Amino acid sequence: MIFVLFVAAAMITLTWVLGWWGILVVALVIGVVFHEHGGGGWRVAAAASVAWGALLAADGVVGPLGHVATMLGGVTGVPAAGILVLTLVFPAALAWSAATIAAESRRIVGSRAS
Amino acid sequence: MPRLLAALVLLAITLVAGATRIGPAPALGAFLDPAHGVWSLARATSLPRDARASVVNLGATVTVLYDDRAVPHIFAANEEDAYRALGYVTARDRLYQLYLQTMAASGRLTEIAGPRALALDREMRGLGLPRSAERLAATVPDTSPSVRRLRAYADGINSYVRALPASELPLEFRLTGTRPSEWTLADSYHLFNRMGWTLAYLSLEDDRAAAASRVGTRAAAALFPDNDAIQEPIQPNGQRAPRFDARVLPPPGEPDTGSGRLLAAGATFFPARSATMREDDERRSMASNNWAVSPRRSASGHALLAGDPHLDLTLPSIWYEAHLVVPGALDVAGVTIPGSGAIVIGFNRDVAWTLTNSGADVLDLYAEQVDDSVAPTRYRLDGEWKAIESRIERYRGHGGETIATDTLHFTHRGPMQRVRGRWLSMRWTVLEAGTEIDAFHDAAHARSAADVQAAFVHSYRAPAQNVIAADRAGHIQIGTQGRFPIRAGDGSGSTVRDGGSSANDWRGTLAADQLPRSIDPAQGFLASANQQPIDPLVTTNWWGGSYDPWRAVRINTLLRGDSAVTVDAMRRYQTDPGSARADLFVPHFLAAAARVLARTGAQPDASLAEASRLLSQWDRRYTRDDARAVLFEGAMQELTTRTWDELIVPGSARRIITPASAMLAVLLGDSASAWWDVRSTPAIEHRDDILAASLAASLANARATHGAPDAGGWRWQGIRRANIFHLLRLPALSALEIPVQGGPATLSPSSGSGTHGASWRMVVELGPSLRAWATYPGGQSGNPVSRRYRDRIDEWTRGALTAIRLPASPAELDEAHRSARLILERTR
Repeated sequence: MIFVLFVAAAMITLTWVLGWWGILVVALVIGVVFHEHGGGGWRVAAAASVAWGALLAADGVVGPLGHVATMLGGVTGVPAAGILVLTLVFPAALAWSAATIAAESRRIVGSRAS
Repeated sequence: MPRLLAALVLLAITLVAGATRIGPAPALGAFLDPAHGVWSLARATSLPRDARASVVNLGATVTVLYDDRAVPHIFAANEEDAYRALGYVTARDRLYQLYLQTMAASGRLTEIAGPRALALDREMRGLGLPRSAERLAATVPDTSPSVRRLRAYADGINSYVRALPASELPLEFRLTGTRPSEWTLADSYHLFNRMGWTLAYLSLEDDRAAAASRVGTRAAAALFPDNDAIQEPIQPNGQRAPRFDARVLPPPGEPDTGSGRLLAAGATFFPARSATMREDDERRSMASNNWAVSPRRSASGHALLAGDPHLDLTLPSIWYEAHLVVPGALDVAGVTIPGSGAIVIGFNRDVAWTLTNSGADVLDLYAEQVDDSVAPTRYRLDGEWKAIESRIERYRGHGGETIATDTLHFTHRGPMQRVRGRWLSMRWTVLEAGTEIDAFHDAAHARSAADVQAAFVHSYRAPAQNVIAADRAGHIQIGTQGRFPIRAGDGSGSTVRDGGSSANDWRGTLAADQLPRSIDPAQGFLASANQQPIDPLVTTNWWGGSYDPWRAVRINTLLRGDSAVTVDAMRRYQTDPGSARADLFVPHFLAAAARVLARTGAQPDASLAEASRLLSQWDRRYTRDDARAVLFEGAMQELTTRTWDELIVPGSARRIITPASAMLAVLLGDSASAWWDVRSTPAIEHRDDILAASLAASLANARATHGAPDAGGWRWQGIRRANIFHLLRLPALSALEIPVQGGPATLSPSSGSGTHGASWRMVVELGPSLRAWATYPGGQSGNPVSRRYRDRIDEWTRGALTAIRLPASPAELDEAHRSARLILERTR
């Protein structure tokens, strides 16, 4: 749990600084550092969802997030809930895949070096 | 290994979807990012209560206070700073609108929408509009105060754009994958040119050519006459009622094959516009109203002024409300068109003004002799060859790739087009405009109605407008303002002239004292509603144009009947449901039905009898609950279809052109005119047959479409509705199917598509302390998530107006009526 929150905090910070690429950067670093644990696995994905979920919640505290979701649903033809879910799934998929590849790469490089 | 493979595939998918647009879908990464992406719009739904920003070249700090209607009141130390601030606040609320209208006006929509926008862009560029704006921007002197103000205005827009945080990027940019660009002086001129394109297009000659191709030139000239049959001119003619100039329409003749080139010319120069105008007959009755009342006919003893320009209804609105104050120098409020850098319609402490479109013909075509029929380089003028200016136009796609390339040609008159193997050039006042901004800036300083007129006389060229003004001294004035060409020969502009002789060129423009105008008329009021500007009995000048008298007749009737006009009456008149058109036609339908029923004797047509009974119940008012207007409108449609059957394009059910309903009114006086006969039937029909058959057919149609007369389906609010589309026509961001009061030819007309109407309504009382009320269908913010995006629509639908606040200093706008404050400081 602490691991997830720690990684999520890093992702929030880097998302704020780098935009969505921040998720990728954090996931790659976590993947390399925790390569022996498969790069963090589902916990990195969960952290990414938590990070963007927290940022979404912050948006919701300040403004009418539901109204934005409804409007986006109307514009895109996708249900508003679907867009919200996509906003949580997208970083999770990005983070898991990036962390996994980083971990595997680190493991392969490490095994060759040894 | 399968895990790695899955991760590779998933990463590839997320990276591609995150970083690139796939079809119409935006790149998901930046779009969904809750810190800077589309979700962050939730944080920008209202302006921060207190904010500070930097603006380049600002001379002194500017205070902007937003009132409880989200209207910015700009308090600056000098005028250029005031216009810098206007640029800033306009960009803050309407950035995408600024961007999109510039792309449209400069013929660059393909850069947003790709090849499907190519036809629109080609029309803009082919007309030479972007070329004209760019040339103007490159040559105007910086010594002109108005040009300096426009540059200051651009400073304001660009200061906002440069500092724009990613989280505040408007939704539309995110959806279309575009970014705001720097605003230039040329962009303001692009906007003015776009207004010219909207309001001063090829009209009378195009209409006549279309009609002539079906019924010959003589009939066409009669169907689309130089002068309206119903005269209620803008310049009062001293009559107490509209005058019907009786005339007999010549019968339809043989199609004139020679008119094809002129008809094709209209479609070649204005392909998009020509198609629109022909398809939507009711656009003819769409335009604008303005009127003013002298103190002696107002209940308060002060002059009153009202204005409601009718334009395409969009979200956000074409108008943006603002108030600019420079102590001792400027105190003007009203509406600006984003990008114009001026209050276009409005008032200061002494005088108010508003506009309607003139519609006069200010565009002529010339047949040119060229050296090469495919790629001309020279044209013949007065026996000598003159060089043709060529210009390469490249149309680019979303990624900057070239989609198409055109070579445009220009003579000294203007742009050329090859029409049916022959080259035509076009001269158009819109392409020779450019000083309109001076008129608006000078009007802002006017101290009297006469000053407003003088400002327009001095600087305003196109598109020609009927400018009405009223002042606190009690004076009212109206003037048709703009440049109107003096043509050779008979002065008419309705034919293609020989371009080989400079004798056929324009010989100047009409002097100010030849333009329609009126100052404090004896009748005590003035009104314009796109009717013919001046009675042909008092002038020999040719105006051309295509006019419609109904709204003018109605507003003049209302004003003649009210010797103590109140502000509230002015407001009510703007959405008055009465119709001069219905007042004229309904009795004719009823009388014709009675005669036909009497003629049929023992076996009367029950359907006609019922239709007549139902129509006789109508009070001729297009209220939302009315349940008879649908019958009348159906009858008018049937009458139009049956009467003008000669104008139907062979092999289709479509008329090539539809004469104004005023021509039907003319025809009513000739019961045996050949026009009444329906060619497809063996019998010879006369007026009463057609009127009665139209009425009966309308009842049958209404029953089939809307059910029984009093079952609820005939209620007007279910039939005519306003549709206010978002600029990108996204339904979710639009306000659609709004029930409104009004119908064709009422003062607040409701068109078939509902996309056109009163875009701004304003009433001003010019008392010791000026008071004003207004609204428009939309809201100040262009952000669809903002509560200010469409907050005025309900007010507009009800025909209500809200008092405009006019603080002379920041201290006069108290906290209770203040929604936000913005301090603008000089960029360090």
